[in-house]
Amino acid sequence: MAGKSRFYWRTEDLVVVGLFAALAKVVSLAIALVGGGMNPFTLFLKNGVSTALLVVLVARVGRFGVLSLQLFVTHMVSLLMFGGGMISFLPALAIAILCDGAIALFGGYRRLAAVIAGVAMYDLLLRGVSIGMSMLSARENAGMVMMAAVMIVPGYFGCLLVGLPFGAKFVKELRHAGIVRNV
Amino acid sequence: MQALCATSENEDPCGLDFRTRLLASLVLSTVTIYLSDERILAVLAAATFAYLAASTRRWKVVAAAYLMMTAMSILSIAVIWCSYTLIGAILEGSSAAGRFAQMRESVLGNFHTPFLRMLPSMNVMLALVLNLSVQKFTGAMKSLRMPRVVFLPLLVFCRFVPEFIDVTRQLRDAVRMRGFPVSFGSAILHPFQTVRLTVVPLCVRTLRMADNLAMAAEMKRVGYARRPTHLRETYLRGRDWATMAVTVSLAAAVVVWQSNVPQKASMMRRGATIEKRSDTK
Repeated sequence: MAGKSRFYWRTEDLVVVGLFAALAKVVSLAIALVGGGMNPFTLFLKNGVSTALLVVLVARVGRFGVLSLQLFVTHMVSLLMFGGGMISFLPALAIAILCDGAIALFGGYRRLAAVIAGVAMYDLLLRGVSIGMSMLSARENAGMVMMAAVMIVPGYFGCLLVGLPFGAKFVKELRHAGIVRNV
Repeated sequence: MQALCATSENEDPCGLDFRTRLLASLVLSTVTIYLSDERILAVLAAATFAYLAASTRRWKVVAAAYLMMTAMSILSIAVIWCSYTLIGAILEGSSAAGRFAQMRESVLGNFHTPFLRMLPSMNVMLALVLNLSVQKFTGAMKSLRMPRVVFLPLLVFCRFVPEFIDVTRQLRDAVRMRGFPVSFGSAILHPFQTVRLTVVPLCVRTLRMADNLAMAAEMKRVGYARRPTHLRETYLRGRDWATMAVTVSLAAAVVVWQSNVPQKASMMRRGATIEKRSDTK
């Protein structure tokens, strides 16, 4: 198995990242369909579930750069499915690298608390990028920017109140089942 | 999922390479953020629509995208206007009410420019997405010398979205058989139980699937080749280079035009204020 050591990313890690990106899209779509469109409750739940999945993904892969790779795949998918996210890609990638560094700094990918803190920081900063993007694209209309900023709030509450606690709980359950082994 | 829907019946009429379309989308989407003058945005929207018209024959999809965008624009303006009206009514009598009334008026004042800014981006993206298939996409990724770290997750994504839709359906049936209804009402009444009963099994299934798939990929040595092999080599042709040149020229022209507009506008404004001052004197 000399070929294995050639790459930093194992095939298994890459497959997990791709599968979780697909899962997150399908679950978000399902929640939006069940919840009847983009209302605050749907936003709350959708962001919560996405964050919980992200915590599981980071805990499972447990390598520096997993957030950046996940962001790259998600952005490429958004580009192909909805034709969006091209402008916000570079700042979002910078944030993902920063948060990967923060997880490493907080104690590494083997500590669940560090993973949770890194994901919380990542979600918060990404919302900053979203507000920045709406300020750029609707700068002539302050009312629209203000409302876009307000619409982001339920999503972040979903991330904090549902995503992070549930993510931690899921990781514990999956570790108990022997599926997550790094944390 | 347009990428999976593109079929041989919808061949690209222009025959442009995926890389050319990607460059056009990147350049023109980036440029639209800088633009703020309605006339320039309208010209760019018309130019990109001509590009879209030459790129596809799927008019129903284009019409649906335009209708959806119009409906979403009207809906968002209506929701924002109603929200500000409601907040203003709640805060009536206080000093903040006036500010919210101003915000409400500003929503209607200049709502067309942000939506006009979306049009060029939407046109170039539609031209990209409507001519894309999984095969073309993976071929382009390989020809761009994308490393396995990039194309393997994307390939897995493209392959497994339809599978996950089936898995979600099976899971919903399984949860219903256990006597727990999966609906909007149950999600509101029991949000945590809904999440636990649906997301944990999905996670377990995904991670098991990932193990099997990774083993299969390792056995087939996916991504280990130093040079990618192509079933059909793709080259940039004359029309691709011409499209790239037109794209870059158009982007440069609109940027130059926009950078001249504010000076004229500010000069006009300055002139108007000078006239006003002289009138008052």
